[in-house]
Amino acid sequence: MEFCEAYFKRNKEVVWRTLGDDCILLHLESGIYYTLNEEGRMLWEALDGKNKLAEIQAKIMEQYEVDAGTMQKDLIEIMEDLIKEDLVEYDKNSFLEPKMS
Amino acid sequence: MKEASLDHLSRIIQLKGIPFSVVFEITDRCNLKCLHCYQENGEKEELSFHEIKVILDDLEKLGTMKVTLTGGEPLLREDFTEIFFYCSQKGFATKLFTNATLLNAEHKKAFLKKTPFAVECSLYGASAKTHESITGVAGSFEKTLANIKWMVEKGIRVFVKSVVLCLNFHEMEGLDRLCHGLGVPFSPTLRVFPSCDPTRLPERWRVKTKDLKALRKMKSAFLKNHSDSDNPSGDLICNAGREACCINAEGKVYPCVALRWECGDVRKQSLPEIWVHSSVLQKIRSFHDKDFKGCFSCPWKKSCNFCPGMSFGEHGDMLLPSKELCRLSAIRSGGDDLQEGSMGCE
Repeated sequence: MEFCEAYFKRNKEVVWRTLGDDCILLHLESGIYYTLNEEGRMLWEALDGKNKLAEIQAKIMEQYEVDAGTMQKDLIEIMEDLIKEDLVEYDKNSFLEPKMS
Repeated sequence: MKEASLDHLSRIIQLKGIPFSVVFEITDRCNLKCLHCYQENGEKEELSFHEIKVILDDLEKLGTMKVTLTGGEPLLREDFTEIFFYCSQKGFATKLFTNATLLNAEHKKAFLKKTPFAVECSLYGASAKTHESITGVAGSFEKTLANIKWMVEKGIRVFVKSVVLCLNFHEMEGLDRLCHGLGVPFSPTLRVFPSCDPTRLPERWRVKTKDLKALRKMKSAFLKNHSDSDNPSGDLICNAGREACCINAEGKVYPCVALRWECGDVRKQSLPEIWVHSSVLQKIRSFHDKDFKGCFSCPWKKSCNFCPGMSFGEHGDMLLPSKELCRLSAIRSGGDDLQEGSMGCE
């Protein structure tokens, strides 16, 4: 399955707060804090497992004047970090495990 | 996305003016009678569960991320698990300060369902005799130890703290070994704060100057590895009232658990109003290092575990030097001419 067709959701072991444009995450198991910029925050807030990444990208693009290719590249980069740091999990209701290109 | 250093976080938090970390004393009742305790035991009309929920709702809106439930002994509250789960529901990283003697089946079930971010317990000696000479309750040592072991076994992040007193300093190295054997970090402190209860004098239990000097001369491993942290930057401004606050069992708000300068009362004003408009908090936030006139040019500043709460407890003024912290800094800095009673402890 294309990565952008997958559903992801926030790891339940992560607490987070939105502070204006900033977003602070705390992984309760590792005790590590992370910050997200505005774009990252919008992505993070949308990761409830109900929308595919492509749909989330479309919603974020409504807020920014940027081409789809650049936006997709940015979001994939953020998603790679979120996955690597165990901050998100892919929704097991997706039919197949997503493969990153 | 990036991993955030504590400095970077602190800058964001202070810029946004958020009480990022809050200590919530949900009761002042306790089943132990620790000699050095700063609390007034069981004197207050406690907040109800409904009042606590309103406070937690407000903290969530203000941007608070960490809530520490403490007391007194928080497990004495019959609605403790409800409070704990509500904190989790609100998305807080929930810490717990507890003596762990009262951890029962209901609490254990709750912790298995939702792991606390961290649990801090106090042990005051490596032996029941010494520990209980301080807690005043027979059997408390074994109960605390057993429950620490249970929590560690279940993967809960546990820290052991201790307050070093004249009654237990000889067992600190043994306690350090005990904690090492349990696989938990150990943080002792020499700081004994004045009590909110004027009839209790914790200061009399402080380690005498001659004993601390002897420990220093022995190059005690305990003192070397675990003494209260240095202050290499020499900063006198801390996060009290800027990034943190404390709420007591009847809803009084303070800049932090140590600095008991009342900023407001949630039974009279909302927490957001207090956090933004309290004249005490505004005053504290206006202070700079230079306002701490006695400390600003102190030669021991960088080895001082400075705390305005200690100064406030001694003088009613957070800007004045604390006699006790001056004493401890002098000893750490090697002040051999320091005499017993010249400052701080008698």
